Order: sequence, then structure tokens, then C-alpha cells
Amino acid sequence: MATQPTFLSKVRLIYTGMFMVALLLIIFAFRWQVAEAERFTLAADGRSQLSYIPSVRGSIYASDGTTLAYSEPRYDVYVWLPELQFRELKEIQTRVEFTDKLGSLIDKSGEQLRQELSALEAQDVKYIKVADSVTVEVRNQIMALTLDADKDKPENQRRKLTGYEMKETSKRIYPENELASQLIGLTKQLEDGSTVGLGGLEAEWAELEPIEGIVSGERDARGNAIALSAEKTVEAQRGNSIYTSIDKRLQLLVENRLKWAVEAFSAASGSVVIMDPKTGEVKAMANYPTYNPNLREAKDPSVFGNKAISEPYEIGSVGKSFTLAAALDTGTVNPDSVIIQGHQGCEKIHDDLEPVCTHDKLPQPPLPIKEAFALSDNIYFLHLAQLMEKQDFHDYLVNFGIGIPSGVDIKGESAGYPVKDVEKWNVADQAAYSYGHSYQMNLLQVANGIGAIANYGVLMQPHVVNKVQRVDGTEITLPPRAVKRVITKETAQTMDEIMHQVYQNNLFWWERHYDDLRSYKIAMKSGTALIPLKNGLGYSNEINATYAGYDASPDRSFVMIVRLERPQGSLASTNARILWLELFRDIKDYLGVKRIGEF
Amino acid sequence: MTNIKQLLQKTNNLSRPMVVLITVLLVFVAVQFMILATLGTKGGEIGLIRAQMESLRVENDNLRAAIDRTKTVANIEEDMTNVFALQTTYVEKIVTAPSDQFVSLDN
Repeated sequence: MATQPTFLSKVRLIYTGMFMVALLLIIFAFRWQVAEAERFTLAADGRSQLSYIPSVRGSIYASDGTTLAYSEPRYDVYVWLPELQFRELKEIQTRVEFTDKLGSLIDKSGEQLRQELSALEAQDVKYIKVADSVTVEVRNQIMALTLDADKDKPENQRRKLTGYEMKETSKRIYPENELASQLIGLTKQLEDGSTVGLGGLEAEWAELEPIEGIVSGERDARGNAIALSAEKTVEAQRGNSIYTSIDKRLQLLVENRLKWAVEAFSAASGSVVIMDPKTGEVKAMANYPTYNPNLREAKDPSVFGNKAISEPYEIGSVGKSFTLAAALDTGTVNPDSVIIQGHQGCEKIHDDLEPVCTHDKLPQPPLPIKEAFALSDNIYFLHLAQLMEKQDFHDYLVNFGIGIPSGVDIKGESAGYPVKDVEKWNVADQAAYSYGHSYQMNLLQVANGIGAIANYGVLMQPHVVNKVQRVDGTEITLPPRAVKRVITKETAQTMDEIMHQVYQNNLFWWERHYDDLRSYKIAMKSGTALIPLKNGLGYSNEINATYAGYDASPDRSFVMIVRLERPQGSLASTNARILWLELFRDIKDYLGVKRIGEF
Repeated sequence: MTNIKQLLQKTNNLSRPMVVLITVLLVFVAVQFMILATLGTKGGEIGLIRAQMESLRVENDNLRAAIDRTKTVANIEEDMTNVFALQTTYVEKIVTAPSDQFVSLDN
């Protein structure tokens, strides 16, 4: 009978013990998770590592798949002095050995590196950058450095030289140097090693940017990853690549010829745009002066901009193409219409305004409008504009893209000064608009507007990128896009004939070196406009000279617009014509432009 | 006898959860040992694999850069000469007429 309470009391004792253990666990759990949560969180954070892994930007390719811009991985090299000092203290490696070996791979002498380290060590700096942007090959050589003390050991048993760290970064390289530099744009490296685009394709196409990798996980006391710890990882991924419509060979021909023209005619600058009017693809876009993006520090930043899209200007009589197309399309006139009975070279349109004059101020007899166009007669064109409904004239100009951003996929476009709303027009506005003044366009807008005439009246969306290639190999094709029909096909074909006559008139009989060019069905219009003074009070004596032309053969292989800013000399306005014709001579065989009789 | 039987019955009832609890604990400890014996020692290996992955990624990017680097203007100029037989030439002299003959030029 005495055993019964003893046995039960033992069982109770065990339960009590377990209860105590459980109570202790609860107390400790409370302490760890509530009372001292902050301290333990910090301790845990010390074991938890969050690493960012950079990657490289995507490449930019020309139409033939060759490279315009690419990035390669690079490394910045740092010396971590505490480790170096520890190894020296333990007599594992010496400072001389370390600096001699590392220095030889980063283009520094051992002595130079030692001095550098000593100087900063004296200032208590511990993490010292000793080399910028070394290649992967150099990185591999550095990582393969071993201790002299182990030179007799088998290779796999030699200890590594330590005391340095390498931080991954990247270098943007433009293998064609100046070629299409303003169109491609630039990149800037930020403090954290990432790059951002500045202007051009680099800034416009976010797809080029890489995805930074993130590795988050816990480490044990030795620094090894803990296999079971929850680990969130974002894989580092290089940026996508873009394929452009830029024809590198054409671009090179254009840039060479443009450089020649700007220098020969002492112009401040020059720009050229060549497009495929059928698709809106930009085949070449050049500016001069230009710069080498690999050596950009050596160049005046003012040349970084892409003037072909960023600098709108008054296009002068090239605008008469839009006026005439509008008048023909509305049925206001036909090519043979004689709208006035001649003029005296100048004509007053308002008592308070200076008279409107032709370039030579010579009287003209009654002329069909197509001849007035060939003579680029301002007085005829102001009367032509007056014959149209203002709203119609306004709408046609806007539909040709005046004052509307072209939406080209390059950063930095400035849409220019638009055509005013009709209610705000005065007599001077209507006159000025008729011959391409008082509104401003950038060169690409001009190319696109003239391209609409070349494309049988359909305005296309100008673009440079036609394909994005993702990292996984999939491709997104960006097809051409028609924006709107501006004029009928019949009007466009009538314009072909009128503008072709202008081209023929521009090939003078004494220019025997251009004889070969007479056999092409080119349509053309020139424009010259005085440059406004910076104070806005009138015009300087300097000009912008523009020539616009396109292949009017059934192939419609190109539209090309050239601009020279402030060309010098008594025949300054003709210099853009020479540039256009010389360029055409350079590119016609390459583009396979057909002669009359071949189609 | 009856009392003893009842007592044993009582203790059996009490110790059954204990046995279950101890068994569960033993299994838990055994599993912990197994995990530690297998995965717990893989930290170094994981680190190595991760480093290799990084190295491959960098190597891959570097190779792509090397491919892109070969497509340079020098190759294109060679093409222009050999394939297209094109040469950039400049006019040496531009023959122009007196300015009064530029009848169709723009203003």
C-alpha cells in the first residue's frame, strides 16, 4: 500500500520537471523574440548577406547585325589593408611581394604601388582603389597570383596572394568611334557602378539596361552559405539588345561627305538624314562636327547633341513643297494654273509690313504654278496660300508634321515652332507659312514630311529600332507603322513630276561632272532661310541652307535631306545643293537607285 | 490486487503520451542529425557553385563582348573595297558659273 503514493509522486515529479522545462522555454522564447528582439535581429543580420551583382548593358547593332555599341565586364581593383597587414604580421606574404606582383598587372611599378598604399595607410584609409576598369583577362591573372613561398609546391597546393578585392563594373565601348555617335548617344557610369543612358538610343531604350542581381542568404560563422536558410535570389541579367535600321556603310559615306562639305564651305555645322520613305526607317543620320564617344572627355560637350532632331529651324522654301501639295490636293490649283498675272519682284501685303520679295527681286510674267515652284517664287506662293481655306492650309501643314514631334525612338527630339491656330493668323503669318517661314522643323521632321510625298501621300512613323532581342533569344520585331494619309496618291505623283523638274533645273549644263546624274528620276526642293538674331529682333545675314530630295522611281529607295548651318561665301545658298548632289553620287550605286529607263 | 491493477492501469494511461512524446523527440533529433550530416556540410559547396555561376556569367558576357568587338569599321572598309568595289572620292574642283546664271536657285 505504501508504494502507491511514491509511484504517483514520481510521475508527478516528472510532469513537474517537464512543466518547468516548458516554462523555461517560454521564458527564453519571450526573451529572444520580444525582450531582446532588436539585439538578436542585429546579430542575425550580421550573418545575413545581401549582395548586388551588376551586369552589362545590351548591345546596339546596325542593320547588318554589326556592332554600334557594346559593353564588356570590367573590374575595379581595391586593396583591403587590414587583410594585407594581417598576412604580413603572420609572415605569410610581404608587402613587396604583394605590390610587385599586383602592380605588374595593373600597369604600376611595385614601388609606385607601395608609395600609394603607404600614403593612404598613414591617413588610416583601409580600402584603397588601385586600378580602374581592368579587363576580365587581367582579373583572372590577378586571381591566379600565388605566394613565392609555395613555388615549389604543386600548382593546386599553392596559396593565393590575398589582400585585394575586385568590384565588378562594366565599360561601354563604341567600336566605330565617331560613327553615328550623336544618334547612338552616351552612357554615364554612376557611383554604384551602374550605367545610365544620356541622349540618343542609349537614353531612349530602357530595354538596354541590365537587371541587377540580388543574392540574399545567411552565412555560418565561417562565411559559408547555410543550405537551409531561406534565400531569395534575383539573377543578374545583361540588358536586351536592339537592332537598328542604321546602314553602317551608308552612314560612313554620309559622314565623310558631310565633313568635307562643312569644312569646304566653312559652315558652322551640317546635318544629313536619309530615310526609307516606304517604312519610315532612318538609314543614316549624321551631324558634323561630331565626337568620339570613347574619348568624349576630350571634346566640347556642345557637339554631343543630335542637331538633326534637336535643333528646329526655319526650313525656307522646302516648305513650298507642303504648300503646293496642299493646294493641289484641295483642288485649289493644278500644276498649270496661272494664279496671278505676274509681279514686279516685290509686293506689299500690308501697309505696316515690309514687302514680300523674290530672291532676285526681278519681275516675273504670268507663270504656271509648277514653274513658280521651280523658281521658288515667294509672291506666287503667298497668293497660292490666300486661295486656300486657311483651316485647310493649316491642317495640311500640321498633317505633314510641322510642330508635331515625329515620335522617333531617339532621345532628344525638339518638335520646333508650330503653325499657329487659324484664329491667330494675321496676313504676315499666312504669307510666311506659304514659303516655309514662321514655323520651325527639325531635319528629321522635314525628311518625314517630304517622305510622305515620296510614299505616295502616306506619312510613316520614323524610327531607328526595328528589333529588340531579349537575353533569352526571343525577338520582338517592330514593324513599320503608317501614321496617316496626308495627300492622295495622285497628288503625290503630280508632286513627283513637278519636283523632278526642279531637280533637272538644278543640274546646270556646265557641270559636266554631274552629267551622269541627269538620268535619275529624282524629285527635289531647296530652301534657304536667314537665321534669326538671338535677341529675336529680326534676322542676321547668315543662312540655313536645306536641300530635300527623293527617289521618284517606283522603288522609292530613299529620301535625303541635307542642311548646312551658316555656310560662308557669295554662293552660300548653293552649297547645300552641292552637298546633296555629291552625296547622291556617293550613295546611288550602293542603294541601287534605278535610272530612268530601268523601270 | 485490484488496487495494484488499477494503479498500473493508471500509470499506463499516464505514460503513453510520454512514450509518444519521447519517440517524437527522438525522431526529430535523428532527422536533425541526418539533415546536418547531408545538407549542413554543403555550405562551402554552395558557395563554390555560386562562384562558378558568377564566373560563367562574366565569361559569357566577356565572350559576347569579344564577338561584338570583331565587327568593326575596319571590316566594313574591307567589304567596301573588296565586295562592293566602292571608294570614297572627293571632287577636286567644282566648276561653277557666274552667279547671274543661277536662274532656278532658291531665294
